Amino acid sequence: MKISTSVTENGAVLLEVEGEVDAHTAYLLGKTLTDLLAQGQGRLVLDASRMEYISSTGLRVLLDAQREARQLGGEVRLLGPSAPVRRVIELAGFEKLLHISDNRQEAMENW
Amino acid sequence: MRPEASSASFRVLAKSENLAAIRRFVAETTAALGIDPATVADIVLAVDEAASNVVVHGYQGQPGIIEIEVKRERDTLLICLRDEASLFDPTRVPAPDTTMPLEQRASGGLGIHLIRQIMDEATHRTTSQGGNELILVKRLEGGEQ
Repeated sequence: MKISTSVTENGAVLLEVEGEVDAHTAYLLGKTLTDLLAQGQGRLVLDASRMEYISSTGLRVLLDAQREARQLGGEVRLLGPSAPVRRVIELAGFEKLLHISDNRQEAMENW
Repeated sequence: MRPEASSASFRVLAKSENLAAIRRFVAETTAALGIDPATVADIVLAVDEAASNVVVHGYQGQPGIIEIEVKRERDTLLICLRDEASLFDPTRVPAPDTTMPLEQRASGGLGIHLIRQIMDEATHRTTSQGGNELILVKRLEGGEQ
């Protein structure tokens, strides 16, 4: 799994997550998100178009980050999740817990 | 002509860095048994969740072996996960209430929830050596070949 982080023009953070998020790699994603949240950054857009896989450990990391982000007045948004990731979100019943967007501009704006 | 029953098994150290190899084994063997790609992806997730449970809750960082056996008997796929960790029955973990709002949603139980969503049966039993055996059953409807 690979994570690239960049700050966008409006101050949100874009995280591009590539590869597989499982019980081995989710720790790294969790740490990245926790560090950003600890800095007060609650506007997090996670580009999941090249995320090939996610298991419950990865979803829990996103759920925990979502709770923290909402407390900061922001949220975690998932941008363009790949078909296999979308399937896991659906099986887990997480559609309503994570803001999912297929439009880059929409995901970046209206916080 | 496809044989009536065929099986393959994989033994590996129960470490989180081996979960990717377990997923690959399950993907390759189930595809070779004639299961469609969407069902293969679901089954891979279910087995990954079960194996992650063994690594995290079963061995809890201690060294140990996990064995995964994939078997097809006509229109039934059986996947057995065996380990020698302390007794842990994931099927007794209560499933989360997926209708609960974010703030009240419990973090645990999601793995077994996914397993139940995907597989038709999940049964735990204690092996004669005192280890765990989790048997996951998926009925293959529609005569997938």
